[in-house]
Amino acid sequence: MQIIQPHYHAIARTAQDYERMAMSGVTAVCEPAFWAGFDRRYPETFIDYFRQITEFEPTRAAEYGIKHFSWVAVNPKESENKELTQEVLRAIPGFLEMPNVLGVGETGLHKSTPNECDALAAHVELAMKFDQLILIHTPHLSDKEHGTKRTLEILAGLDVDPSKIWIDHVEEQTVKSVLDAGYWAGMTLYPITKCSSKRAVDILEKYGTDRLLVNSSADCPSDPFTLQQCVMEYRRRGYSLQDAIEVFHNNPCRFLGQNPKWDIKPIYIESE
Amino acid sequence: MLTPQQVIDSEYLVSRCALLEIAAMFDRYDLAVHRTAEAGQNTEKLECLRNAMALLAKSDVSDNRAEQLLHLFAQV
Repeated sequence: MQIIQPHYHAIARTAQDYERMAMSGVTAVCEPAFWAGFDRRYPETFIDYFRQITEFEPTRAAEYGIKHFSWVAVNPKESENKELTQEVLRAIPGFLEMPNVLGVGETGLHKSTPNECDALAAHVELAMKFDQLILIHTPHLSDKEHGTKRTLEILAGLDVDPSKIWIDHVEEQTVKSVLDAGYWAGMTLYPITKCSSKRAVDILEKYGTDRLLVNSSADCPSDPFTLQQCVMEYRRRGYSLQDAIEVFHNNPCRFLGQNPKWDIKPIYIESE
Repeated sequence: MLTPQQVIDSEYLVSRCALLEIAAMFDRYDLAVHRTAEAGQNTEKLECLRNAMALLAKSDVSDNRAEQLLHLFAQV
């Protein structure tokens, strides 16, 4: 089965992960800009990082027949630094013109501070100005519920097209509010601190598959193969191969295909 | 040996995760009952899990909770 990994931090992974993903059916990965484990101090460091994920990483993925797309943004954690954020935001439009960049992300909130909220609004406004897709990170653990609520409040105050916005890392306490507001919702599968494969399938069963994405994120301490684990759990519960393709391949195509640079089409293997 | 705080700090997230999985399992069961309009034919295992959680919720038991749970699970 062909799988799309819509949120994948490839620079945190080895070549062997690409190889194993290719062998398990992954045909494309999308890499949002993220926090590198420490706070960067210089805009130039971000720009080199953006070059890495837009120029170099696609060549590494191509070695294994995997298409690599990316997103650019100042991640929520580092957006606490206002000056740095402003400098990097000025550089983002140039990257949006690159052939494999799908939009602005991952922006969002970490501790929901005033600076983070301003940075989220600035990223969203920039994306809307350039008619781009947006990928929004929601906070971890005990910060998630409040941060998601705050994110929705900020978006409600802006002139946005909800169909172009993917709010990621939803769990049971946040998925309904995101879907009810018309946005796409992503479930990120982590071994311990985010959604599990079984709980993600529970959410798919409860809310349906419309506007829901599943990903592994695959940054440390995640595991890229939680996505395949979720495919297996979905199939184990009796869903057909086409049902699984709809969730794990075609839904990413539907959302990401709003950007014409995304050239992978939905797959249909069963007749009506 | 770990200090009490080290036990809490190093094992909270793993325990949180395990509890969420158990909660999701009970939700899954209830939804299946609702969907099929019938309960499981043998719910002894489910009751055993509920009894195990009740035991864990007590703060006045000794340090052999795992052993007590294994005795409980041996009954089904």
